[in-house]
Amino acid sequence: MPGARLRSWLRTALDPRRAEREMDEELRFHLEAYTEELVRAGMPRSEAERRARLEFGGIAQTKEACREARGLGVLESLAADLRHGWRLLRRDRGFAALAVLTLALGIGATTVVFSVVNAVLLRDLPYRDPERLVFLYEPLPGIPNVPLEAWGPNNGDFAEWQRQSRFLSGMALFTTNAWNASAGGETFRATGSRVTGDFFRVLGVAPALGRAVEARDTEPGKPRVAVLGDVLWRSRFGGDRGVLGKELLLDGRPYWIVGVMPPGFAFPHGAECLETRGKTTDLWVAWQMTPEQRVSRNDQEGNAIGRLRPGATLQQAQAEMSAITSRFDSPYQHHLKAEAVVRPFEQAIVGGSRRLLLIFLAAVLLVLLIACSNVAGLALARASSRMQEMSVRAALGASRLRLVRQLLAESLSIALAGGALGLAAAIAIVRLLVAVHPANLPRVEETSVDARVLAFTVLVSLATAVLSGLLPAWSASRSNLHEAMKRSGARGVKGGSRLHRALIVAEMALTIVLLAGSGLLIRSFLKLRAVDKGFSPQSTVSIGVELYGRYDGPQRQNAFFQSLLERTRAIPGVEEAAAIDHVPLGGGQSISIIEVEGYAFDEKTSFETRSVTPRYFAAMGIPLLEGREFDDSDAAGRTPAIIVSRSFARRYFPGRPALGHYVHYNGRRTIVGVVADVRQYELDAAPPMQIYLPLWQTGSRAASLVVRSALPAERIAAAVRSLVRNLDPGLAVAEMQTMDDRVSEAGAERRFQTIVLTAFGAIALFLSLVGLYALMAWSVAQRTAEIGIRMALGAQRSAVMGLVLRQGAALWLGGMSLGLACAWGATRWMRSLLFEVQATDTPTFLAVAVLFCLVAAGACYFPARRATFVDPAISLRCE
Amino acid sequence: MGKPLDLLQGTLDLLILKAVSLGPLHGYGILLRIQQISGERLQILQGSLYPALYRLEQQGWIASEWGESENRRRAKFYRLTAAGRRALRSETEQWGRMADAIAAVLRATPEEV
Repeated sequence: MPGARLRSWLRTALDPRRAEREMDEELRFHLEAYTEELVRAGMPRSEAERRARLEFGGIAQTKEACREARGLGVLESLAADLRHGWRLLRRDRGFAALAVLTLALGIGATTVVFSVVNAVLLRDLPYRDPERLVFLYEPLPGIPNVPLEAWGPNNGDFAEWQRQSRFLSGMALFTTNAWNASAGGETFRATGSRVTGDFFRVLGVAPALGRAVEARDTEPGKPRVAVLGDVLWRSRFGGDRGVLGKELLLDGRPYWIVGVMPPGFAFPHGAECLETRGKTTDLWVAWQMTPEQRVSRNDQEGNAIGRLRPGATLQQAQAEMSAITSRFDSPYQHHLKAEAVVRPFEQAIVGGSRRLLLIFLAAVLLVLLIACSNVAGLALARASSRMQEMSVRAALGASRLRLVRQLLAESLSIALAGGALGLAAAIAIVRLLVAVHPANLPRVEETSVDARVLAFTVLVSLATAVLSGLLPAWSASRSNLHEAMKRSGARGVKGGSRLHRALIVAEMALTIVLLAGSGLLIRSFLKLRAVDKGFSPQSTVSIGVELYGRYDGPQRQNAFFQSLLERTRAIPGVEEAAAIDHVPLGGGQSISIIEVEGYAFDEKTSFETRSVTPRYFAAMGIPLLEGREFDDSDAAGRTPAIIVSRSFARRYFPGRPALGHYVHYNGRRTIVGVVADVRQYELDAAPPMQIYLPLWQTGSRAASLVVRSALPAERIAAAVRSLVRNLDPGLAVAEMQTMDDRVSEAGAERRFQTIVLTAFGAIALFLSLVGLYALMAWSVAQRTAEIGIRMALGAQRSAVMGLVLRQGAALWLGGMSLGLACAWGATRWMRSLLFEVQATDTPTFLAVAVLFCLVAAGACYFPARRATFVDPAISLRCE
Repeated sequence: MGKPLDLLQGTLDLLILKAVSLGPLHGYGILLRIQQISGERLQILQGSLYPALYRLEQQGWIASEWGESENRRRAKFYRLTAAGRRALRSETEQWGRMADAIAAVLRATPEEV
C-alpha cells in the first residue's frame, strides 16, 4: 500500500531520530522478551542476558542493516556523515584549524566583494522601474577631453525634446548646487538640486512627508518651495514632522518646506553627475524659469533624465532623439552640430566601476581557488597518511561510495565552518567598508549582507567543499587496496602525490598572477604620486566661497573677493593668498574654444580655462616660465590679458617667445605670461592646453581662496571663516581642504584599487606559501626513514638539506614560470587601470619573481632544516 | 528434532509474510511463530529478522504500529497489508512451482534423461 510506504518514509525523513529511537526500542524489546523466556526456563538472569545477546548476533551490524533496509533519509545520512566528519576533525585539530581558517579567508573575501557587486551591479536602483530610466545628453562631437556627463542639453533643445518625443513618457532637468542655507538662526552649506516639475514623477519616488515639487511650483512668481532630504531633515530639523510650511533661507532667499523625501533617496548623488561625486543631495527646490528661459538655447545649466514609455526600447528613444536633434540649428557661431545620446541609468551611474568590480571579483575568485586547492592539498596529504585507515575500513566492508561520502562530509564540515567564520568576518568588513566609503564607488553605501549575499556564501561554501574535497576523495577511492595493505608501514611516497604537487604548482601560478596584477597597480600608484602636478600642494589650503544674488555683476563680486583677499593676506603667517574660479582637482571644469592669431580657427581644439586673481601662481606654487603674473592693473576696462600654459606656447610658438602674441577670447587678448602645465582636472591624464584669464576682468560668483601658509590648515580656515562672516554674515564658507588632501583624494580611487588587489595578492601569497610549507613538511615527515638511511650511510646534513630544497625549488620554480606566463597574458585585461606602466612591465614582473623566490625559499628552508635533524637511529626504529 | 535447516536465500521474507498473515505480531513473536509452525526445524538468525522486516515494510508489504505485548510492554506489531497479501499469494505459488521443479529434477533417473 503506497500510503503505508509513504507514511513510513515520511516518518523517517521528517524525524530521523524518532526512527532511530523506535529501532532501539524494538530491538531492546526483542532481547528482553528472549531473556525473560530463558529466565522462565530456569537460567540465571545474568546468564540469560548474555545468551540473548549472543544469539541475537551483532547488534550494531543489525542496526546498520536495518537502516540500510529502511533507506536512510538523505538528511539523516548527511547528518551522520557530518557528525562523523566533525568527530574526525576534532581529533585532528591542527589540520582542521588550518583548513577552516584558509577557507574562511577565501570565503570571507569573496563574500565581501560579492556584497559590493551585489549592491553596485545587481541590486535594483531605488527608483520605480529603474530599467526604464535614462540620462539624456547633448554633446558636440569632436571636442576632446569633455566627459559625456558634462553635456547637459540647453533649455531650448530640452524643451523641443520634451515637446516632440513619443517614446519618453517624461523628462526633467536638474542642476547640482550648493547654497548658503540658514534655518533657525544657523548658517550652513547645503548641497542640493534645482529640479523641473516632472523630476520626482520621472524617478517615481514619493515623498515620505508632505508633497514633492510639482509643475506649478516652477512658474516664476509662485512661492519658492523646497523638499528636504532625509539626512538634512534629521540632522538640522531633528526629524520634526512639523517642519512642513517652515521657512528656509537659501542664499538669503526664503523657501517654504513642502515635503521630506524618504531615507535612501538622494539623487543626484554618487557618480551620476560630474560635480556630485561622493556628495549627497540635502534638498531639492523648484527650478523657476521664465518662459524666455525655458526656450533659451544659451542657458545650459541642467542635466536631463527621462523615463521610457512602457514598451519603448532604448534604441527607439535614441533614434527618436537623434532625429529630433538633427533638425536643430547649430547653436554656435561655428558649425558643430549637437548630437543626442540616450544612456540607461544603470550604465550612467555604475559606469566605469563595472570593470573594476569584475576585476575584483576575478581576483577574489582566484584567492578562493587558491584557498580551495590549499585545503585540497592538506586533505591529500592527510589522506595518504590515512591510507591505512581507509584500506582497513575498505577491507572491513565499507563500500567505496561510503568512503568517498565520508571524505566529502569531512570537507563539507570544514567548508561550512569556514563559511560561517568567513561570513562573520565579511559582515564586519562590509560595515567598515560602508563607514569608510571608499573612492567614488557609486552606491557602495548601500552595501549590506542581504539574502542574496547569504545564498551566495552558502553556495560558495558548498562549492569549496566539492572543490577541496572531491580530488582527495577521488584519489582515495582509487587507491588500490592491495597496494596500500602491502605497503603497510612503508612510506615511500616521494614528495607527495603527483596530484598534490600539481595542486601546489597551480596554486603558486595563480598567486603569481595576482601578485603581478597588484604589482602593476602599486607601480602605477607610485608613478601617479610622483607625477608632476604642475603646482606644489604643500602648505596650500583652498576654501570655497560662493556668493548669492545680492552680488550681481563682476563689480560687486570682485569687490568682495578683493577685500577678502586683502584681509586674508594680512593674517600673520599667511605668505600668499589668491583666488581661482575652479581650483585644481576640485572637480570643476571649464573648457573653451579660442582662436590664436596667425592660425586658422580650429573648433576641434579646446582649452582648459580658468579665471585667477593676481598672485595665484605664486600662491599655488605654479612655476612662471615667461612674462608676468596678472596684477591689479589687469582689471575691467584695461587691455585684456591672458596667460597660457607651456604646452600651449610650445604648440603655437615653438622656439620663440609666446609673449606679446594675440589670442581671441571675448576680445583680442595679449599673452602676458607662460606657466607650467597643471593637472587641473585629473591626475592620471596629461593636461590639455590651458589658458588663464584675469578674474578681475571676468568676474565670478564662486571662487576658491588659495592660501599658502605654514600655519595649520584649521587655523587658516577658522580665520578666513570669521573674515567672511564679518564681511557678510549671510555667506557660508564651504569646506576647507588642503591641496595635499585634494591630491590624495584625486588618487583615492586608484589607491583603493591598489590596496584591495594588493590585499588579495598578499592573502594569495600567504596561502600558497602555507600550502608549499605544508607539502614540504609533510613530505619530509614521510621521508624520515629514507633520510635516516641516507644519513646512516654517511650523507652530510648539507646534502640532505639540498635534497629537500631541490625538491621544493622544482615545485616553486615550476609554479613561478607557469604563473609568469599566465600573468603575461592576463594582465592586459587590467590595462585600463594602469598609469604609465605597461601591462607586461618588466621591472614589476622581475620584482614579483624575486619576492616570490625569497618567500618560497623561506617556506622550503624550515622543512629542509628539520630534515637535517633526523636522527638515523630513531627514524629507522620507527619502521 | 533433527539438525535445524539453514534458510534458503529469499525464504525468510516468505516466512515472515506467512507468519503475519495469521495475525499481527511483534518481531519476537514472528520469530517464535516461525519456529513453532516449522516444528522447530527452521532456525532463524535472530539478528537477520529485523533488516528483513524493515525491508518488507519499506516495500509496503507489511505495516507496523505500536501496541501492547502480552506482558503489557510496548512493542511494535507488524501486520500484512493488501499488497503483502497479494505478494504472499504469488510468492507461495512461485515457491510451489519451484519446489515441484526441483523435486522433479532430483527424482530424475538415468532412463528419463
